[in-house]
Formats: sequence, structure tokens, C-alpha cells
Amino acid sequence: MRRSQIKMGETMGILIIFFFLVIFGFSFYTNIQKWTFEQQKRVNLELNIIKLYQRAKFMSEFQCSFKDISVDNCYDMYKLQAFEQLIDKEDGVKDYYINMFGTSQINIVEIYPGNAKYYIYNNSIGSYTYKEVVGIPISIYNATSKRYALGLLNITVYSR
Amino acid sequence: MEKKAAIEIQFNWMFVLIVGVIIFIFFTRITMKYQEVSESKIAISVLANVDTIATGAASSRDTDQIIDIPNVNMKISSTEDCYRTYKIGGNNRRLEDVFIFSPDEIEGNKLIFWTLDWSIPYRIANLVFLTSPLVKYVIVGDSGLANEVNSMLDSGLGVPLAIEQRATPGDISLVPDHNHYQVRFVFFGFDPDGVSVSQFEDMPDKDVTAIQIIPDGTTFEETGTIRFFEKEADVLRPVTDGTTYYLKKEAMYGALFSGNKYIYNCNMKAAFERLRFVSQLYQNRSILLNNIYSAQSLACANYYSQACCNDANPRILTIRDLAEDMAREFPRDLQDMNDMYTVAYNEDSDFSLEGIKQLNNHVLYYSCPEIY
Repeated sequence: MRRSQIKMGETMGILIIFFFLVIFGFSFYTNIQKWTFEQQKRVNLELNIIKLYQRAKFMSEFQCSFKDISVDNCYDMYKLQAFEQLIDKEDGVKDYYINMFGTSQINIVEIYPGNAKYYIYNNSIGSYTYKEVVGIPISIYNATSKRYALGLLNITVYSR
Repeated sequence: MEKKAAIEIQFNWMFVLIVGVIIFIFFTRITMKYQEVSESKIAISVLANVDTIATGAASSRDTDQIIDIPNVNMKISSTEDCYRTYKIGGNNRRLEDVFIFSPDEIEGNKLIFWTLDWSIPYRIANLVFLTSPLVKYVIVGDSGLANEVNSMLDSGLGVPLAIEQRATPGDISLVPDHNHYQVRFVFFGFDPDGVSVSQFEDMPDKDVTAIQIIPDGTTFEETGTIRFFEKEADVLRPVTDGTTYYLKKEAMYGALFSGNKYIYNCNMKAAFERLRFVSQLYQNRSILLNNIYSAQSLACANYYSQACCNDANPRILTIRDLAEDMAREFPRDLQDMNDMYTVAYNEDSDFSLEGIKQLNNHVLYYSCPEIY
């Protein structure tokens, strides 16, 4: 074999190894990015559940109010019942709240003394990749008997 | 032999040059792509943060806060068919359920958020006002309302808003140009048409704007007309179809912070949509309470019945229907605003004409559950 051919072979070898390392490094970087993206998706889902909780917590549609002053973590029983009727029967209402709550499920369960259940919103999806559930203790106010009940606000968020 | 060696040397140089160029292009592309991705990452993270902060701000009433963000240029737009978005670089997000009144562009590294509760008479939502300390607001006029707005924005807010007041349009020439990227004039009692703003002549026309607020005396200035103006050369001129209306002073502040008529009208349309649904909810609730109290023949039943089911004056249904009309088409006319205000707040001594707020006061007097 001639010297020049050996030299050429060496150069080709170095280049092959160089590009192999570049491709390997790039694929490693891509995989790391993919993993970070998945992590970010998870973080976003958690952020989303906080956002939904903030919305559900302060919405005038559910909140107790006395003389125009809203009470934190208190849900008016008659408003919940009225909302159930509203979202079930009125045209366009569900579409409106889909923009607000997305693919999630929100319900309120009375724990003590009764066991009433209020289905606020349901837009769950069949096949999901992630699902986050959060339950927050709340009080449910009966405006006619002026009594409070202990309840749980359950929020489930889905993501593909 | 020498000829062969010469060809080999030349070939080597060609080879090194081609491979060098390929490697150089490869790394340049990677660097450019990385820069693009980094910018996009910052934009997405700022958009997500603004979204979270706006949701948080919209959840608490009467608050103000100043937020530090990376120095980016954020554009807020509403199209004619009310597709509301905010955008940084090539990344944008749709505004869904938050009512954000803001200039069409936010520059700098600080955001000012202010929220006010919008109730008619029951709470509908918090209106969010978003602006930058680099936007200048000039109140023109010295009426009671002008002074109220100036003191609210100047000392009532805990955030540094660039604001000043001038008694007449003639005093506008005294307003110094401090290189704010946008200037908004707010006229009370004067027509801005033809008013000179020559010191801002060099700024783009769309960045020097004005609104004229014409409050309606019959509703204690809680409703009124708003006209939008924009600079043309060195004077203010009315914007085509720039007349709109407000219901409650909180909405008037919405117009004051809105960069253009689309941002204001589209946010109000969305707010009326929400008013429609909230009204229907109170209608359902009043029917439930009416049924319970009528069965026991209690005095309060009459007030619930007046609110939900009086055929001649079904208050909540009237508000719902007017809200539905305005959610479909806004602006309509001032009379719609006045009608809605009357149904909500009328203090007429005739029981059948009393507004919802009065009816609510009656049920409170009898210690019954409030209508709202």
C-alpha cells in the first residue's frame, strides 16, 4: 500500500470517529432534551392544577358571599345546585367552561354531616398520559338553615 | 513523481477546505438553532408566568402588583372578531377567560397588574388592568370624575404609574416628553378632536392615543360614552367607529388602559358573556329559594319572586338577556347600559320597580338568604 493511501485512510478514520462522536453527542443531547420536555410537561400539569384551583376557589359562581364580601374556601350550597342545573341544561355553557377548566373533572363532596355530591364539571378524557388529583378541604354553606358542612373540593386534571 | 506530489498536496488542501467549511456550517447552524431555542424558551416561560400571574390577579379583587420580567416586547392583540392573544416573538397564547385591559404593546422589564371587581350588582369577575411604567397617562380636565380618576391612579395605587393631570387641553403643551414609548390622554369634559400633541410628533401615530369619557348624569356617572382617538401628524383625530360605552366605573378604567377600541370592546364582550352565565346561575338560585320560602309562606318569598319570576319586571332575566345581546354585539348603545344599571340599582320607592340591590337589602332585613 502506498504512503499516501495510508494517510488518506487515517484521515478518513479520524473523520468517521469525529462524526460518530458528534452524532452520538447530538443524540445524547436530544434524549436529555426529550426527558426535560417530559419533566416540563409534568410541571405544567401541576401548574395547571394550581390555576384550576385558583379559578374554582374564587369564582363568584360558587363562592359564599355576605353583604358583597366573598368568603375564602366557602361554597354556597344553592349556588352549587344552581350551577349543576346551569351546566347541564343551558346551551353554550359547557363550551364556555371548557375554555376555563380544559380537560379536567371538578366535584365537591360533603363529608360531614351529610354525603351530598355536586358534579361541577366533567370533561375527562379516555386515554391520558398523565393524571393529577388534588383534594382540598372546604366548607359548604346552607343559606336557608345557616349551617356549614365540611366538604372536599376534588380536582382531577388530565393530559395526553 | 514531483507532479504526483503536487496533486496530492493540492487535493489535501481542497479536502481540508471542504471538510472545514462543512464543520463550520454545522456548528454555526447548531449555535443559531440554540439561540433560537433559548429565545423561544424565555418567551414561553414569560408567557406562562404572565398567564399564571394574570389568573392569580384575576382571582383577587382590588389588588395591585408590579412584576419583574425579562426585557421582552409583548404584544397584546384583539382582532375584529375578538380573537384575543398575547405574543412574545413567535410564541403566542390565547386569552380565554381573563379580562385583561392593556396597551397593545408592553415594553421593558416590569409589568403593572391592577384588578377591580366588576359587579352588576352581583359579582361577575375581576377586571385585570395590565400596563408598563414606561407608558405615560395624562388626565385632561378638572371635573369631579377627572380628579377622582387622577387621585386613584396617582396615589390610590401602590405601584409607580407615570401619570399627570392637566386642567385644559391648552396645558397639554406643558406635558414634557420623557421618552415613554406610549402616551395615553384621558379627556374629561373636553373634545380631543384637533388638540395639538406636537411635542410627540416624532412618535408613531398608534403610540399617542386618547380617549374621551362622557359620563351619564342619570346613572351617577356609572355609565357613559367613550370615544377613542389617535394622533395624526401632530393632532388628535377620532378613530373610525371608535365610540363605545361603559357600565360601572371599573369598565371605564378598562377603556383607560386599553390600547385600542378592539382590546376594550372584545374584553367587554367576553365580560358580558360571563355576566350572562352568572345571571342565569342567580336566576336558578332565586327560583330554588323562592320554591323553599313560598312553600313555607314566608315574607322573603316575595323578594325572590320579584328577582326571578315577576312577569312584568323579571330583573335577573332582563340583565341576562341584555348581557346576551351585548356578548353577541358590542358596542350597541348607551340606553342598554342605562337599562341594565337601572334593573340592578334602581332605588325607586315603587316596589315593582326596585332594583336587585334593593331587593337584596329587603331579604337581609328579614334575615333571609341573600339573592346574591
